[in-house]
Amino acid sequence: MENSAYIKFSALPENESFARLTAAAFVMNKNSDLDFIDDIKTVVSEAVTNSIVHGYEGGLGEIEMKMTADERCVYIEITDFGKGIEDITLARTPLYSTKPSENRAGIGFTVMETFTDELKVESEKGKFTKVIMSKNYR
Amino acid sequence: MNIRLEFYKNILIISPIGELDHFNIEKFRNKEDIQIRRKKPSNIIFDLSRVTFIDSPGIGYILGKYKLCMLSGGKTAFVNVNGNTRKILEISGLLKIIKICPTVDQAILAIEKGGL
Repeated sequence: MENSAYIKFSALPENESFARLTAAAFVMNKNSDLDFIDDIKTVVSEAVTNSIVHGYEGGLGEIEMKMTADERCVYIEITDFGKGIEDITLARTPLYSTKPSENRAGIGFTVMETFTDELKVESEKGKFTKVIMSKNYR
Repeated sequence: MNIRLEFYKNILIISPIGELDHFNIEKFRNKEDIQIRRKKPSNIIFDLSRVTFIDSPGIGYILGKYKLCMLSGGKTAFVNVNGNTRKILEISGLLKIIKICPTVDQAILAIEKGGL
């Protein structure tokens, strides 16, 4: 049976752990493999942190997280309505960061790509950024 | 979340306890740098045994401290790297430049003997 959940929360750093723990709780009933759950927590944390740090640049805003799980895999969609990404290919390049002076590693998207089976990024400048990830159960 | 700092001779041992994510790092960022600049340790050991979560901001945090230490020509070592932490460290490329030692004592020995 397909299961789905949707949450909307303020773009505050304290909600990074709220979002990843919520995602972990959601997938736990479909797949209790600890490595799988750890990977989900990590990719959700990366996407939500990106929205807070880059999408809203620390300002006010809201983040949506939609989750769907079927018998085969879990899909997670994380959307912010911040400034958007001008060049998605560049943003996804390993070690690239728009804020290198702040000691950012520039590996957020690389981590998301490595820990998921599929990663899609959609964005429109000044409107939104949406990260869609899917991960198959092992 | 807490980050314990210990100074042993010219070695700084950093032991984060809890979740090394963006939210927690922002709280600690400057506080430690002040201590590091004041005491000027030339080497750093990261004891990661009590890290329960880490993502790319955590890597950025380690990288920042590594750079501070490199400026003074020092050495850096990791200790007690568990499964999930190791995966992120591998992706970041940090394991190519920073070695993992089994214990803090062995890391201190390696730094003192120039074995890193």
